[in-house]
Amino acid sequence: MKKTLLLLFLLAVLVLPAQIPGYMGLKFGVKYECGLMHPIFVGRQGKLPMLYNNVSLEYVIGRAWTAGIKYGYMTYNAPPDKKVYNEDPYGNSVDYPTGRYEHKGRYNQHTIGVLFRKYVNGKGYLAPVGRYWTMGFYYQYAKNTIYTNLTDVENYSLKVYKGVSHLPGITLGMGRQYVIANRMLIDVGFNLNFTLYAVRHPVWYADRSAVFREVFGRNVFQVYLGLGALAF
Amino acid sequence: MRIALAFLLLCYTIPLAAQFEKNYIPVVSTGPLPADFVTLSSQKYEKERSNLSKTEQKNIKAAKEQFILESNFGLDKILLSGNTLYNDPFGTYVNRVADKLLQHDTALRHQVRFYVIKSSVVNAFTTPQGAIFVTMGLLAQLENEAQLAFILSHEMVHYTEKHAIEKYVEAAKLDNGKNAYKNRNLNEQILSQCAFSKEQEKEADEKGLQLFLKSGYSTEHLMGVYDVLKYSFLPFDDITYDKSFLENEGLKFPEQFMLKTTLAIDTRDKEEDEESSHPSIKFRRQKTADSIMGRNNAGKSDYLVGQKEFEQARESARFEVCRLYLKAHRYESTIYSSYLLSRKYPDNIFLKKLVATALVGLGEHATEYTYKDVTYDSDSVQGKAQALFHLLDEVHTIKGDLPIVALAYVCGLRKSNPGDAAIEALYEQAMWTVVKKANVSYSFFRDSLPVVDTSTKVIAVPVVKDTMNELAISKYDKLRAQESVDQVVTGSGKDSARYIQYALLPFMGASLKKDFDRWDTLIDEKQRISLEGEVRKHKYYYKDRVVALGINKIVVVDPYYARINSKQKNSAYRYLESEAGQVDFAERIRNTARIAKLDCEVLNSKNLKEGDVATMNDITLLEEYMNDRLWQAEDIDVPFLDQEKVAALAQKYGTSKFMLTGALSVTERSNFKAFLITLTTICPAILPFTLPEMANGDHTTLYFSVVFDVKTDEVNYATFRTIQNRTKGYVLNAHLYDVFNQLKTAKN
Repeated sequence: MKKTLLLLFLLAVLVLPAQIPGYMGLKFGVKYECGLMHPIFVGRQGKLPMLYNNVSLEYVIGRAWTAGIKYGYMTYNAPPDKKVYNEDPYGNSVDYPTGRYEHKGRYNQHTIGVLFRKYVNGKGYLAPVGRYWTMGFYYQYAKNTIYTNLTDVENYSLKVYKGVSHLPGITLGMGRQYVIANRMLIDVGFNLNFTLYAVRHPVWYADRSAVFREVFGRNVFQVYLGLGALAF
Repeated sequence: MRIALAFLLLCYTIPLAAQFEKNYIPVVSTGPLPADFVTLSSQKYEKERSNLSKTEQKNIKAAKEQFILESNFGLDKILLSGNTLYNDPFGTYVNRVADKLLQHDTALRHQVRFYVIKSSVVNAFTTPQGAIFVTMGLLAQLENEAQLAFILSHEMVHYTEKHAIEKYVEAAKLDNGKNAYKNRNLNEQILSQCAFSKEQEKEADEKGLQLFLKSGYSTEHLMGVYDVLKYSFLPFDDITYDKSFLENEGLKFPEQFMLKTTLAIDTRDKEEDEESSHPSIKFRRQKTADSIMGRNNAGKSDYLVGQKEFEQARESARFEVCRLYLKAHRYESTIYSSYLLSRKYPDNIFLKKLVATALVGLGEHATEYTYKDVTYDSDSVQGKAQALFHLLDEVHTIKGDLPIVALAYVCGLRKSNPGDAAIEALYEQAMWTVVKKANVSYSFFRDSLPVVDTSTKVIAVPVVKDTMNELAISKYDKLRAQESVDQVVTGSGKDSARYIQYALLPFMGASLKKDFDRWDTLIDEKQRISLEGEVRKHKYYYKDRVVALGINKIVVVDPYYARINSKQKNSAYRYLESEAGQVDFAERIRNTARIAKLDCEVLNSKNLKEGDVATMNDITLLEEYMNDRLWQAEDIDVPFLDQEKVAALAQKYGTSKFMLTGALSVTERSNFKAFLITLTTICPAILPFTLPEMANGDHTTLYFSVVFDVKTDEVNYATFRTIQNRTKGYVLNAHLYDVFNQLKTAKN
């Protein structure tokens, strides 16, 4: 495996410059991508699409191939989930004391990944221009904090849970990259992210499958619009 | 200009026989480019369109606008094709005839321009813009100057009466089923169109004759013009073919290869054809004869410019026609026409080279089993030319025989013209075909004539008096007798050698043996890029051959761009977009080459200036060369006739690499799109995958580049790419850069 990788690397380095034209000789692109994640399977965190931000670097390694790395950040404040506390199992609020409270959640997600793009030569495109397929893998670090506020008590906030998850996964996608004004890049596409596994802390709060389901659902479908430039 | 004038003067002063005795130099355009050539078609269109009446009916106006568009672009296509001559001896002569014809109508004389185009077809035609074209084929066939004047008169009436636009508007009405064409079926509509066209031709004949009669030309020999039209399918003369034309001391074709009689020329007049655009020649002849009957030709003449000038132009045109046949790969016609002229000019090297090239071409095709693709069915050829067509047909039946005939002819030519580069190239190719393709070695050939063996017993051919007698002899006896006769006829003697084995007899010796041995041991150096292969694998672009040629400078020859939209009802070819695209494409090539750090010169016919005659001539020569090279199939290789001239351009431009490149943007209806829409409606989840196809499925851009080395006469690089998208500037940039990068980068 090591030998194969080394051989591939050497081939990538040693190929004639004539074989890798890039776009008018430009092979290195820097991009900012703004994307929407639709939480298809998300429960209490709402059904609105969430916004994420990516910064990525892309380098042309072949007539059809580019390799790149990306860093993505996404944060999300869940809307208050209002609750009523009542000791009477039958809900008799006259005889039993009643309290109101709400859960608030904040979610942060950091993603780093390595992406390979194959531009569709068969349709007449040369990397990094035109239609492409994306494949890659990523690692996510997700942090979920839930606060409980007693509505009737001023400034009372109780942090009841702080969970951290480590989530590796793979990305598949497709899109199209345009060049305007010789250097500027516009990138439109979508990704399907498949989280493979979840490791969460602390282990006592929620079961693994619940975390997995939630993160998986949040990330599985992303559409994005990227803006960038070919640097050199 | 001075040189051209001096040449013209020389042409008119030297007697014909002396002038063509040794050589013929093909005519090229000279002097400043006429205004017709240097104005963009779109500008001509806009100018002419602005003169259209605004009060006209909407659909008539639309048809006229479309006509103006198509006719202007059509005219420029002819002018810039490289086949139209200007400021040349032929054009000068035709214009002088027009001067004589219109000396009383100076206004019309200023409106019309006359050009000669390099085509072997017998024809003349007019464009609505006043450019009248006469083909070289017509000049080669005419009998006298008056006939030319009559044809010019006829064409001028087409111009003055605006026949072309009337015909177009009528055709538009036919398409829409309006007016007279309402409620008519297609056949009736077509017949109506033909009748309309015939009326125009009759009018052109009548009014043309009136114009002609006003001039000083005589009608005495005018009627012959209809014979010129009637027999336009024949060569410019009909002379018995002498089989010794291709023979030498050793090579003697068997008598049975020669036809005893040739197919008689059909002299019957064709009857009126309802589906023809022209009245029958019989009718036209009669009408003209009636009109000129009893006219007094006193003081009139068949020649106003001059008989000598006419004969000079016609003879030159005949030489040009021989060359044009070769250019069109009509090899047999080349040989026969050259044979006709060789009767008068037996030492003319130009004709001999044409014959040699045609024979080498036929030899190549014969060895690749594509002979029938480039030749006529000799059985249907009319006239005495059939003897030659039949002879070549017979020779080609045994693989290798025709290349040997070609080699023998080239050897003879080489012997009498040592050191001629073009003949050397032909020799190399002929030798290659014989040795490598036909697998014939030096030992195959005989170096002495056969000794007549009188002791050979020849079985007498049984005399067949009647069918009963024929039945009495067995089939095998008849065949044995025939074999015996064939052996004697083909010069076999004891060794039973075939006639072809004596073909190189005059050239046998150490030098020829050395050449045979050299070719025999030579590894195939002609590793050309297979253009056909490149085209075949265009679907698998990623497997495209990638090269690093280390070229410093390239000359791009007349970059091509065309936009076709088959969804458009009126005209699929988008004229204005195509021209604008061509201008943009040329500029894009310059910019991209600059970024790729490749020195690039673009020869563009779309931005010519008055003084660019040399550039236009270079474009013409290079396009002729490139088209010839591209026409040749994978294994067919016939040296280009003007290879020396092409190679000289390498010196002029400082590089031997010349590129043919272009893009074709096509939009067409796609049923697949409807299928995708249906599929996506049923299953919306696949929208992200089907959307790109739905957006671009109807559009394709074809991009191609071919790089020729004019010194080595090789194709260095060829690519043909299909981009499944509408033509985007940045996608074209990417491909252009990729090609230039491959050309520029050197191997480490």
